[in-house]
Amino acid sequence: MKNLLSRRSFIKLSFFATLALAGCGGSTGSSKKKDTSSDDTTKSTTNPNINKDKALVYLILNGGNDSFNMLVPTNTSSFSQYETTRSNLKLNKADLKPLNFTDKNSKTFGLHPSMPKTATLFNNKKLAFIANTGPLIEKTTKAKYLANNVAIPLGLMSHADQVKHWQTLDASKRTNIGLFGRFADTFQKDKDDSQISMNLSLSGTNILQNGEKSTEYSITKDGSIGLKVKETITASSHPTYTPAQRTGLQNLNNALLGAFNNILDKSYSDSFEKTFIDIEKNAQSHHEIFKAKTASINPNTFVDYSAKTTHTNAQNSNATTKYSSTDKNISEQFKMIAKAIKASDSLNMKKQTFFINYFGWDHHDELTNNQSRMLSVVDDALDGFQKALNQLGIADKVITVVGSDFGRTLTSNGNGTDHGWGGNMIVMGNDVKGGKIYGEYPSLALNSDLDIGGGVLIPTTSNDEVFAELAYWFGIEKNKLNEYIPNIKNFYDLNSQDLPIGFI
Amino acid sequence: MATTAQLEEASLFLMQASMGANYALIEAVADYTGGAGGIEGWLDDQLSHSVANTGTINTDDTFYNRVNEIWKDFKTQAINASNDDGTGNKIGIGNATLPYNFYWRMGWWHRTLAKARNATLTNKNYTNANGDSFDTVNPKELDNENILRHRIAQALSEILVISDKSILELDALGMADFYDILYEGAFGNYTDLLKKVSLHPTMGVFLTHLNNKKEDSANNIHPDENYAREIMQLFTIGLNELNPTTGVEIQDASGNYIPTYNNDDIKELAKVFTGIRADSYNYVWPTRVPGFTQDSQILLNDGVPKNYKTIPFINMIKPMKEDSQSQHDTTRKELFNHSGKTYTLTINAGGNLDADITAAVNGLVAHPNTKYFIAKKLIQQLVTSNPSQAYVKAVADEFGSTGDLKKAIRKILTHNDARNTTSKKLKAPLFRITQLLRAFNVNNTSKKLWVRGDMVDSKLQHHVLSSPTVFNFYLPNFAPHGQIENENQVAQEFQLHNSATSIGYTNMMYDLLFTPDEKISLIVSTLIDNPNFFKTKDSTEADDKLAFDFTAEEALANSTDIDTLINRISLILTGKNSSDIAGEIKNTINTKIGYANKKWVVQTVIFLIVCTPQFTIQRKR
Repeated sequence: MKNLLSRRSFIKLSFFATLALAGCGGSTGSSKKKDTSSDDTTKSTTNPNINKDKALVYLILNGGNDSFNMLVPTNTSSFSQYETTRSNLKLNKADLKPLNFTDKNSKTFGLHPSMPKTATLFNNKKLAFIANTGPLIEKTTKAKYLANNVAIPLGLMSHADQVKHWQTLDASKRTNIGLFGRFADTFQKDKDDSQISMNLSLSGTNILQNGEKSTEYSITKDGSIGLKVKETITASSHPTYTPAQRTGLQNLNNALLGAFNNILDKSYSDSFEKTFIDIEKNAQSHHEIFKAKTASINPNTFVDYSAKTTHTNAQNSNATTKYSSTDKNISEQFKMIAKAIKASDSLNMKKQTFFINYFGWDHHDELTNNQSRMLSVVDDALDGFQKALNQLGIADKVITVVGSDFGRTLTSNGNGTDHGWGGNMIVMGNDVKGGKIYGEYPSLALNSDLDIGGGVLIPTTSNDEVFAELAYWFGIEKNKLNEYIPNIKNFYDLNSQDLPIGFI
Repeated sequence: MATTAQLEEASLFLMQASMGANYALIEAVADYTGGAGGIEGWLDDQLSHSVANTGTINTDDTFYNRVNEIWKDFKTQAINASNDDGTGNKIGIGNATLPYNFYWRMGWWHRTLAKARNATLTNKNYTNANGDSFDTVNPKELDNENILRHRIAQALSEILVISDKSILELDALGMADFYDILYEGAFGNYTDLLKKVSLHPTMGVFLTHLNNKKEDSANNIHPDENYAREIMQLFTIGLNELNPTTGVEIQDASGNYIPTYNNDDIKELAKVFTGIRADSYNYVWPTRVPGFTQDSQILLNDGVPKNYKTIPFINMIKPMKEDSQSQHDTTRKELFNHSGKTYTLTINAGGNLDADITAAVNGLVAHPNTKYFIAKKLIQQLVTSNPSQAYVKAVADEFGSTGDLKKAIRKILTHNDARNTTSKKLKAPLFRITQLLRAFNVNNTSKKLWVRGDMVDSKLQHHVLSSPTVFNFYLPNFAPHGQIENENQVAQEFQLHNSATSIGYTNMMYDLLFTPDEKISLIVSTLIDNPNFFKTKDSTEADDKLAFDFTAEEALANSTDIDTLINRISLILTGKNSSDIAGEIKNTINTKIGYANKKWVVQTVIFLIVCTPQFTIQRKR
């Protein structure tokens, strides 16, 4: 048992770790900023964000984005280290999109060639990166890791567990209660069944938006889903029908609908039967509300994939990959999110969360071409979304965050990379102090103080800190952050005047 | 003549043991006279059938063969439509003729809908544009044998997961062949099955152990760990130690579960799956790959770029092989060799790939966890979301240390808990659709039951070999909020029942039953639509559209027989010869719809019953 710690020794250790870390504050490095935006109020116990309208949008690049090829150091010494370590996966320096930022170690950076719009958003200070972040239970060093005297996340480097940790923000447990679910448990505590959940999912049922009491409301890129039998039969909906046939069908549908509603209204004592019907019943009534409130909101289509079929890797003009239907849907899903945010007042959602689970990032193989295509999809989506928010005049209340299960190993397995740990993530929005890379961008040299083997990097900023800051912005009291993110005290003093990282 | 109670039990049994049953099949099981008679006799008969025909698998009874025929048919059309000279050099044609996943889906649906339909479905030979002659259905696809085998193959496909939501979407033939392994091995030993699965190229591509090389520290190359992790977590031992005599998860003194393996074990096991290559290069348009010869051997260090050593350039049917350039790690591998573990697995140095995989698979299946872990998964697939400890143990004991699937399945379907009142599950969306279509004998004129399935996938988020990840469609411990959770029960299929899919399901049932021309709205394609090669014709082919056969039901669609009609449909769909909503249905028809349109009467009865939880929740009633 070299790398794993038994649960019992963890409990003992984390007690001391908590004592040792209390008061140590947040992340490493000078990028930590004072929370100037709300300087006066953070001193009091009441979070000024509590009653403000907020929408938090979370895009997970499911499978593990190789984010050390998304955000690449470009100063000479760092780039040469990058080239050596990444061997056949390295990007050409000339193709990277330059970022106007130099970190405290005099490192400069470029973005993946597929992300020019993201680079512009960064350079316009609308977007920032958080470097080498990932799930942690407590601050972890290589020495402590190798000596087995630090608690490490359960199921380290497994998809199922890591992608869960990015949703539960509780890396010591396997739970299906997610952070946004806990938000909804708070902000929609006494929610009536007629009220739609503030947690809107474009990706079906998920852990992130699942709370003790709350669940997500699933929509699609086209909006909410209603009963067909309830739609009115018209000449345009049934052009081949005679008027008599339309009347006949309308009567049939009315009869079916009446009986269907009676089925829904029956009482069911069996738990499976009752649950089946309850979910359908709520879905139907919520659909009516959602549809009515979003119908008239129509931002421009800033991204259109309808005519696009293949993506060409900027590094290799011979390498083309096909856009999947998943790829093509991402920007449309963001557009639906913009509509729902615009409708938040009429939907009675002061706070909203949105979730998109973008599958397909497990690039053990064929990394460079697939990642090139999929990052271009993200690039288009983020840019189009920010434009839609601006057009609708709602950009001030939205932060978009892009995370992934894990960074990937720095070393190549020949044609791709395997599961890593720390990675680089994106935060975007008017409230984000953009144009900076927060946390500490790590050395990419193999066998560094962070490399636990094959270029698996220990995160230097926990994702707990990132989401604690977002939780505060969303309206959670600072002294209650640990009720939402259980291990946050291992990284951050809840009495601190500063925010954990300072990107907001 | 079977009693009503016998028919009801047979109907429920067939929800567990088949992809859906019509009235004739329910009667056949209830009236079965062979062996022990009834369900048990029929079950033993099913378990006795093999797919082999004098030693080799009967090609008429493979998914591969059907998918291959469908694909070849489209390929011929695509070539003819483009006036291509066969070199594949014309833009688009090479791709258009690749075996895309929808050919796999068409073949799967065709076989699923054809099985046990000898009374209503007959072969219709057809000749394609090249003059090649095909049978639309053959006797092995139609007979009453291997109905159970088909259902078990589907259950296994949700445990030993590959998915077309990956690059496998380019390889219908490979997926069909993988499914044949499950179909063929459904009543065999789990060890044999798992070894074949581990060496199948689709699994090698999906979980990336194909082209895996041993450690090369000088070049920063280390073995891919993906398959090593998942074969333990998902295919054999699971995450937590189980009590070897009860199968219950063990907790330590602090109440924590004990992990079965750690990262070192993964690294050790990853060494087993090294030096693996595809059998040979293989591609339908050889001129498109520079410098390779059709069917030539692959070497991991042969200088050909790695992206040519996977789909669509390689043989995806023959088992993966050991590379001849010493890329297999032959060092000794030790698993679970750490404190607190009573079961260890050692693979001696010097073994070749085949010997190492055999040892690893045998050792993992023999791990005391595996029999419980797989027994529970199979019970949850077929019978109930929350099996009792005794039920799991009874099945696990039959499964044993080599994984006797035949005995395990027999136990699952004959145990007292199989059809008691506490066993229940939500039918997964795909099974609701297959049950409905099979119950009422869908048919078409062309006898090509080539459903594409896209609609089921997109609206209900469930399809065969199509889960979003290797973790299948649902978390094993998923419980929706409310009463189920409060009862400490799990109900994994509810993960696919949300605000989108619940309404989507009702809408799909409406669409299936009430389409304007009384044909089923599921897309069946049989022709390439020139010049859009991929856009197969799906609306113009009246011969291909599916329709239900309601002959027996329409005979009862009158005011005198309405009770009999409701009871019959309820028996077929819910396993109960009466409906909780019979009054509602009758009232709706009598007062609002009338009996003038007999189809509407039948469709209304079916639609309202499939909307009730009496249909969607599978349980004894």
